[in-house]
Amino acid sequence: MKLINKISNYFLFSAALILIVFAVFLFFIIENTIKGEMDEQLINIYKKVVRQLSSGKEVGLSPFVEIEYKADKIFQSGFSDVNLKTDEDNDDEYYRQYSGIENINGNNVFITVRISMIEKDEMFYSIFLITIGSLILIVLIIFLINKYISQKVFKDFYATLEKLENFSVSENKDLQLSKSDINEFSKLNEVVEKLSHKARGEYRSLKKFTEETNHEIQTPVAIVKSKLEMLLQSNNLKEKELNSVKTAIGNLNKLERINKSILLLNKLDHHKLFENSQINLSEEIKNILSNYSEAISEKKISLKISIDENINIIANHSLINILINNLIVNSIKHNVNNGEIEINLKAKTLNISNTGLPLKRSPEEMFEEFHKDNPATESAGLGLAIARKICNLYHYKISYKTEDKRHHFNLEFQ
Amino acid sequence: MKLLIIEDNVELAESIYEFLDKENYQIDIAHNFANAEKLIIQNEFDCVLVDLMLPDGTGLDIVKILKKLQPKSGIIIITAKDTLDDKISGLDLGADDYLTKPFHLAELNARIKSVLRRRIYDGEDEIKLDCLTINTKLREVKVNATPIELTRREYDILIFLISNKERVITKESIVEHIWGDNINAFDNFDFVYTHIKNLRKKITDAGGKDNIQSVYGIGYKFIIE
Repeated sequence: MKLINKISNYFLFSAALILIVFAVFLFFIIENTIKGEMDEQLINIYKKVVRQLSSGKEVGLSPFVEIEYKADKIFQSGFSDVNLKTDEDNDDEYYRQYSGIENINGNNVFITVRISMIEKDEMFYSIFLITIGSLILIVLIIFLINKYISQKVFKDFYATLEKLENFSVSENKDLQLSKSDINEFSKLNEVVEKLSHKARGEYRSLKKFTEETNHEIQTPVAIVKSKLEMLLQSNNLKEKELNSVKTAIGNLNKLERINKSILLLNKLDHHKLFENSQINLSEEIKNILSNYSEAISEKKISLKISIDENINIIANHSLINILINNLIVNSIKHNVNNGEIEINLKAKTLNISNTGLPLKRSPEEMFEEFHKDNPATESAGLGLAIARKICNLYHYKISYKTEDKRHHFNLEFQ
Repeated sequence: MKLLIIEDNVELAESIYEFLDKENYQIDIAHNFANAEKLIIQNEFDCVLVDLMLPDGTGLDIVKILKKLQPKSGIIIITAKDTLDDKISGLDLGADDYLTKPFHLAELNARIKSVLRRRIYDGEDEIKLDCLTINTKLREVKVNATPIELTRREYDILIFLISNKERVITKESIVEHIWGDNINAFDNFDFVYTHIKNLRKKITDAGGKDNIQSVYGIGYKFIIE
């Protein structure tokens, strides 16, 4: 719910409450006032009638003045409301009456004077109508004001929101927010700008740290590797020792590859400019595939390829090579024996699907760093993260889905 | 052959030196830019290994100096940076090859030989070893004058082993030599065995000697008796 609507709701609710209370009061006040006024008039009329009767005149106008002579009843004079039927249309008419017994010229005379009264129902109805009318008017006004406010007053707020939504700490400039003449919003913008500056700073230093660490690791790794290789050439080592050296070199190589992947991820994050050239995608894919013939036949994987000829894109050759490589390696690596890989390149859309074990983790995590569906695998889980970063760089769309027990990767070059 | 190693890390330079020593090269070592420059001015080298990051300068400037003073010498760049930034600038300046740290010494050795072949012998080099004669330009292999037909992989593996003859070469370094960084795609390196087996068979079938020795489960060694 929009903030402004929330506020309006409270406002409307209290306005309705006030109006109802007000209407009820109004009803009683009007009723009382009218009654008081009527009673005064009735007394006046009554007195007039008595005076007329005393002077020997006949008075009578039904139903407003009724005289009953020779009344012998004992009656307490007073006001009352009555409901009489009219002769003409048999409708109920409401009257307020005052009755009394007067001794006029030695006779007891019973006098009733009446004034017709506004019906309570009618009055109630009118007040109700007025109240509802006011409410509708208030709603209408609030609606119009809200519309105006969300357009004008909240404009700055929505602008800030939109910029925040598109902001990433890896961007190379701070958030730039427009000035607002509303205190709350300008304060918000100020705080958000400061926050973005701080977040970016911390992100940068973290990046720098990772990069430095990765660079620093490389030389010692190179030395260890070279020493181990020298050891391998020594003629005095027995099989067991040679095997240890081999395993050590193998793991050092793994460390080196992880290190290189992280360096590449960092580089891609910096959005630096890579030199672009025209690449024949069709040829590129075929070349990469031919590189893996051993790995494919090793698992007895059958390959279905349908590649349109001469699809060209403009990008950095090394990066595109890494991108396609990682996707193809992924489809081999996570395949099963006697499995299948299908590769389609139509126009600028590349589809790679492969058989494999079902995913244990959610597909959304697929492109995350160090994502490993099978923790026992040897790879570090950086290949797809790199693929996604490269896609982001060139605004390619990459997506993953499971369908028919197969893993499908879809890549749209633009 | 005269080689110059320009590498600021003393230990790494030493390892390279030790490894290459077997090859009967004359090797000089420089640990910084100034020394390297001096050595280049005073001597002629057939191949120079240049580390890009030196304490007192950049290896790219060494490449420029070399191109000016000794245009015939081969240049191999060694760097801790990865291929994306400096490869282009390094190769643009005229370096012959490029290796990122950390590398296999066997790989470096093979690259040096390949550069020397291209540079010094203008690619016409014929490698003669025992019964084998290899023309690296035409990629032709002969066993006692009988040409044999090798696949691209078999040929590459043979050259790599010969470049590192009398050394133990792990299967992993063979895979890395041929498939580069894409080693990840392989669950194991057993397929190297298949290529080696075929290679051996082709050589022995043509009447050649089997010079390729298996070293336990580790790798292979090209031996000359």
